[in-house]
Amino acid sequence: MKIKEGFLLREIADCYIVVPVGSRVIDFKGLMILNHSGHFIWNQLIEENTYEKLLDSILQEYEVDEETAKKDLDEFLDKARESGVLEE
Amino acid sequence: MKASTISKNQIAKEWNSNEITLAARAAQRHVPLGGTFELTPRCNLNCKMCYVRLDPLTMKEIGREKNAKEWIALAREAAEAGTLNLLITGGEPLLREDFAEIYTAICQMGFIITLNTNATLMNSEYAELFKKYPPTAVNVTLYGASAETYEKVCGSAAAFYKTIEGLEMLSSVPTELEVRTTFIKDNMHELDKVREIANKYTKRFAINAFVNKPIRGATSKAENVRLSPREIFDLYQYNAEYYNTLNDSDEIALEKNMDTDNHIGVKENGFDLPPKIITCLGAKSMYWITWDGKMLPCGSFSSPYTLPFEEGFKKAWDRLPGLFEDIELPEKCKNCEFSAEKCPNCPAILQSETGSFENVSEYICAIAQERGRRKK
Repeated sequence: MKIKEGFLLREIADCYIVVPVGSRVIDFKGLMILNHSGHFIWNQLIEENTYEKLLDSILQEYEVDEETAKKDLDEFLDKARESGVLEE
Repeated sequence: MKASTISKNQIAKEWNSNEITLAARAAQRHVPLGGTFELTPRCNLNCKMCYVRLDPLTMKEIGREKNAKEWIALAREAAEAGTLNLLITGGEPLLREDFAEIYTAICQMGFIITLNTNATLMNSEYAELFKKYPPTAVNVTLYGASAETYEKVCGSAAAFYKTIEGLEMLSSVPTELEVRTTFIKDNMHELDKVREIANKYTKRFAINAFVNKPIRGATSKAENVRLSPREIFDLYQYNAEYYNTLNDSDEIALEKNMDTDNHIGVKENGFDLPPKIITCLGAKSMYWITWDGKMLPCGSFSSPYTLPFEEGFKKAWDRLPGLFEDIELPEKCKNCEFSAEKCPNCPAILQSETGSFENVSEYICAIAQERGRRKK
């Protein structure tokens, strides 16, 4: 899975905001405002990545247990799918 | 109406629900979150109440329209500085021959774009452009429900049919379409019919009856044709009664009340920041750039201003609030019983009505008094 082309992650007023560019406005399904872990996951998805590798990288980056990391990752992926930014 | 195309574009709705939070964060950090590019003061219509329209000759006496290259470069600087919401307006922006060039470039920069237009210049090329790169929202002005009223208000009967054609074309674009009507003495009798036309294309219909005098060299007859305070509130009440009888929650009463909307929740939402004289988000997280390159807190001001094309966007934005620090409202306004809740004490409106920040406007006082009387 990876982030589709045509989306920018902009840092504005200490928020990370996903915005569509050009024709992506048509199929973008909602404004995404990311927290720090969301920002981290986004960056891991600029190139093709797998669920397992993503989970590993979260566990390496943050001092959290696997259950919490999975919850964060699943929440991010749900929102990304809902917003139409994820290519799978 | 093509509801399916409207529901395709969800950003506007999402944006609305996040706007206050983001705007407060931006204001507290002095980030220029929301901006307006007023691409031109020229317009193919000649509305009696327009606050900004200039004919080409007067325009050339006052200044020079910034060219496409300049607007595109400034947009890059604005994006870099944190602008997310960008309103493209005029005059009539579609009148510019290089509109497509400017628009196409800024659509690649990550803005949430809103376009203001009278829709009369919509053609197949613009329709294709907007289908390819849809603005998040388009606000179309509709000045009457008949050719006769358009002739009276805008000086062109044919413009009525052109507006309807434009609305038809825009209804196939995946954007959040809003129809907006400014009411003056010449079109106030057509509120129901105008709303009916608007609702063929969108459920978002906004009325405005607060008309201020022309500014920045414009010379409309606004003062002669605008409604009396009593007529203004009667019109809003009449419109509200229509919506009160509806069971359709999708149809929205949007009252574009410039002199109070921007002031709602200033303290509650953390916008109560310097410069204190400006009680809205202007110069805190919002700005307006005029066709000839002046940066103002909003489009209702004439001065003071900074010059972003000359000094750079970021420097112009950072300097803007300081220009208003020493400006004070008239004593009468500061101590007025109608201040805050019934009058916004807006310095921009004082300036446009009286030519300075020091004088009291009888018209604005009369509006505040009428609002106060009705709120009792």
